[in-house]
Amino acid sequence: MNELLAAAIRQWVPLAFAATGGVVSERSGVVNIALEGMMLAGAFASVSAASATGNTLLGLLAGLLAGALVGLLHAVITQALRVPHILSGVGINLGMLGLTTYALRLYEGGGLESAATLSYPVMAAAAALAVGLTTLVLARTPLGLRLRACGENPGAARTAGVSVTRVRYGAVVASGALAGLGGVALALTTLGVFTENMTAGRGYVALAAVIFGRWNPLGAAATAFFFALGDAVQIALQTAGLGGRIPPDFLSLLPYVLTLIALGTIRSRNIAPAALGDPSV
Amino acid sequence: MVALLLGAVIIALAQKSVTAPAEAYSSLFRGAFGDPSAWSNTLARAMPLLLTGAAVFVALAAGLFNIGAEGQLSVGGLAAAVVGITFKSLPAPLLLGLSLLAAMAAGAAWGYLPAYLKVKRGAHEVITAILLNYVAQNTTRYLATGPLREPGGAAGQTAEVGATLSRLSPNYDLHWGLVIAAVAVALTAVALRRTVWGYETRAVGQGPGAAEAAGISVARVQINAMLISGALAGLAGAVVILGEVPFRRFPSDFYGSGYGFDGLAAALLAGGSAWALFPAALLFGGLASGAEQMTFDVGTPKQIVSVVQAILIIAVAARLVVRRPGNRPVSHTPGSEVIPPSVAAPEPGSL
Amino acid sequence: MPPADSTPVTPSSLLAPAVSLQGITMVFGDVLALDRVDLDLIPGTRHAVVGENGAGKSTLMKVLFGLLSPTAGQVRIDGAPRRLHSPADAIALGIGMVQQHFDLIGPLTVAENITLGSEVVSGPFLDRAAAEAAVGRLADDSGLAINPAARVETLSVASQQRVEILKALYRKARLVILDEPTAVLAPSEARDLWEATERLASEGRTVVFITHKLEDVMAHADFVTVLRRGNRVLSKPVAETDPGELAAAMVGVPGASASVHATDAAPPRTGAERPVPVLALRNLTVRGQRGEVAVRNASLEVRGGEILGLAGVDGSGQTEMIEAIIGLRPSETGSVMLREEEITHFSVARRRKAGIGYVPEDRLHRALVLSFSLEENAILGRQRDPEFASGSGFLRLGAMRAFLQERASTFDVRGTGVGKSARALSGGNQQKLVLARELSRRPAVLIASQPTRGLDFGASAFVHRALRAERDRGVAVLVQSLDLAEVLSLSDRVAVMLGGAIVGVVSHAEATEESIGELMTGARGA
Repeated sequence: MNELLAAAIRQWVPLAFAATGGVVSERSGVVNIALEGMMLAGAFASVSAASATGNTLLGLLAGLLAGALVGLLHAVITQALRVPHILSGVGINLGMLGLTTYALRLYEGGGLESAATLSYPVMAAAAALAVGLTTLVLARTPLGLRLRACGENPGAARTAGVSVTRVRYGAVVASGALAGLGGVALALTTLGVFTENMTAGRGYVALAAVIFGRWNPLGAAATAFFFALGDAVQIALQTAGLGGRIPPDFLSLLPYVLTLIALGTIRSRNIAPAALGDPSV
Repeated sequence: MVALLLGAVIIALAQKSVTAPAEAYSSLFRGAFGDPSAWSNTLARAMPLLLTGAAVFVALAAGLFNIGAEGQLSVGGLAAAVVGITFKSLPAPLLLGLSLLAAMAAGAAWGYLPAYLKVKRGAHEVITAILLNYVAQNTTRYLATGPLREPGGAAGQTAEVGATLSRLSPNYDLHWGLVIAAVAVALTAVALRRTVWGYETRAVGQGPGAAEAAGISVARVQINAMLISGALAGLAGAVVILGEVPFRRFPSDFYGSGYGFDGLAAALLAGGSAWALFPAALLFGGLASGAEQMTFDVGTPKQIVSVVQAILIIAVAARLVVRRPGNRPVSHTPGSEVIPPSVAAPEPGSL
Repeated sequence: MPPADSTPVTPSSLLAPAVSLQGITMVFGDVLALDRVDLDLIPGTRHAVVGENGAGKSTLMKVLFGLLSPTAGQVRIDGAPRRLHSPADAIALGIGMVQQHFDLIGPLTVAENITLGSEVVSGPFLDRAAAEAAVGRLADDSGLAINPAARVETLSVASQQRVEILKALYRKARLVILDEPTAVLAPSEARDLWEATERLASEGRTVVFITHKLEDVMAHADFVTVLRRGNRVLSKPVAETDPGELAAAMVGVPGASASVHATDAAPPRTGAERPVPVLALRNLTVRGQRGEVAVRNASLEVRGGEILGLAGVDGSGQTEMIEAIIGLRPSETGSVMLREEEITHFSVARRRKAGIGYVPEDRLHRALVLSFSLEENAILGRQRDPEFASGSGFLRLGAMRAFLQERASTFDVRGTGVGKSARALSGGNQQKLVLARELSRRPAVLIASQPTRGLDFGASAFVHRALRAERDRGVAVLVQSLDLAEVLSLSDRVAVMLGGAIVGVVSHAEATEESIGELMTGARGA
């Protein structure tokens, strides 16, 4: 049971970071499908930096920065170029998958590994801290109020003297940094390996957690834990030797199916930020 | 152009050489359009893109973003293989027809799920379709390596199918799938413009509120569009499995061929007209076949092509959007909006 | 109320204007919206800007609030020329504006909405209690009663308007612009608003309001400026003018009536000659967007050959009720009857086939597919009629074009060139196209929501004529409008909604601004 819980927490950390990032971006009015690409960039950058320097802290920093950069890219594309948020996300995810795989192939022997890894309890604590801090900032600070205003009615925020563009740039970059940390947690805490497409849809699962968690950091983190538990059960079943009877490919469907069911059981139209996906600048 | 330039910068940076991009691109071009065999390769690559492009195009016309074409393609290919193997004893033409139909049915079923979740449960089709892509990937891989694996055959693929699409010419890899694909695109283009079905589909895509108030059922139209979209993507899977020489059996890594995602890019590039799918598919077919050549010649990993594609998608969308509300010219060509309002600004609560 | 009873009216030349607009010109594409307009605004006064729809009133105010940058001309504040690039600039210079569509954030509280952008903090955190106390003080001082802790989306329209004014005052506005402030208010709420504006002026602030109601100008303004087609045609103290002069200035014809609604009014009918209800609602209950009960147990009959006007303050459930009639919104309980037949569970398409025509309130999103060609829009909803579709499912493009031509000439739709999209039409021509389409099906019931909103004089008159003609043909016509004057001038009977319930149905003879106004606000029970 304890092992299961530990495995669930291990799966939860990347999801929690990414989902928190998703909340920040979406509450400001920017749809963030690009979480997947941000995580992937963070994962790649962290292992790559850690293996080059042997320093995990630098790896962590590189992952955070890479995520933030992808966030900046998403912000520029959606805010300055006014590309529909979904298209930007699709493009970024496709591009990041291509870019990280391309870069991975350029490594000798096509493998990317870091000997040193981060402690995962520390990362779990950091994830919990990120969830708590985000809740506090959103609910209790002027910045949080302005961010929420931008997501609900950017016109009103603008007339109140709030720079919607600046708030959204900040929110999406912060979102990228958080998702990047999710990628770090995925790649650098356990094995220290980066593999092709290693996020395998976790960004989308995190976004589903945002929706199911009603655009609220605590709700998103709780939903992410539910998804992570599904993943942990699946892994436990595989290692428990049930692999012979239930094929692993089948078990690994569990998280996706769980997420689909979750999405199919809610109707969230009235809770979402009213100006989510708002194309105006 | 922007996309190619940015791609060049990335190659130059990554391979620490200024000449690398030029070498890579020249090899890419040779592989795409350099000689008749390159052309044949490009056309063979473009063929499924015509179908997946048409699939995405139809969904987009109804206001839906079918990012699940890749998954629909996979289950379609698998269904075609299963029928082609199981009923080997049937006469070839009948078996071929059955295989194609099975593929369309499987693709349609896979397309139905996100449509259902969208219209009945309000879940955005992009996220559900992506999750279904992963389900398709794992399921087809499991079946091809497990229960459906050819007894005694090579690992990770099914047995050979009983009926295949024959070649158009003995010298090249082109087969009847190309004809099927071209006809499908032409039918899509005509039907969207000229039929009542197309009218209702476009009305829902361009003005869902007005369509609903006029008595057009948005749910029905969107579900139909996704059924057709899924069927077209499934058909793409079938023509690849039944026609392509390295296939004719279903491989466990069929998901990941990229035809679905390339189709998405082709549909976006095609803009407002389904006829434009022809040049768009040719371009992406050329990129794909050229990329293989490039990897072979100069060792530039072919994944750089996805990066170029991603930049292309965003560049196309940016250009389209700059023409959209606000600074819209007064004399506006009707029906030329490519990105439906619901994709440009999704209903709050769905994403 | 006598004009400007508390403020002495002095000829404008004797008072220095705090804000003046000079030679403001605004060009949109090839349309000249404002042509060298001057406007002087004097502290401590109330200034009315009047004109027909499209005269340029809102455009001028948007320039003053920094929402639009003028093509030429300048804004001077205390004598110095100022550039207003955004509302933020205007606010910093002491100018506030309450637009017709409120700019509020529903899920936030009143205090949060008001303090947004200049929040009250203690340390790094928001100080909610202090913010609410500050807003409460401001509300008391200005006589605009409000609960600072209430969530804005739970407030009435009149309260939301007060929040908007308080927002301007919190930012120390010396000049407050109100765009058609009473359009959405019931008469008693309007009285409260006018009292508040009087108080603002007596404190030395300037109040500018846009209106097209001359009685409001005469009763509540010190100065008046009339715009016609982008030109300033008159500007003087209210004491020196009269409604006749203002009306003539507005429409450009001496002695003309300024009210759109007073023109070519046919004598209303009693509805007695056709007592059979064509459309009937029985105890209808409908839920709104947020799941709240929006229409409560409503029963209503619309008879053949009458226009039933539906009045009510914005958000009283009119929209939801009409959507339930047309089938766009499910009804929770009760029934909708069309000529004895229950249609409660019919689809939109079946209801339309059964004889309901619908002119939606939201022309751009509900009535037209903007990117569609005009012929495609002309048959929207009729695309399956054999007239327009062959048996094999193909559209008859020739028939569509011919149909558009016939409809456009019958309904005087201008600008219908080949290959044009609906977006290219003006608002008036769009509405005519919608009417032409809806009436082509010869409906038994015609429902029109806010049918003249945003239309100019000519188009409004055309729409009213068309509605009356349908009534005379024996059609049961239901017209919903927030403009009480429109309802009163069109209707044979008037139904009033308040809080989701129908609180009264009044015959034309008994329907006056006072009687309907009392019902709209609940001051009088039915």
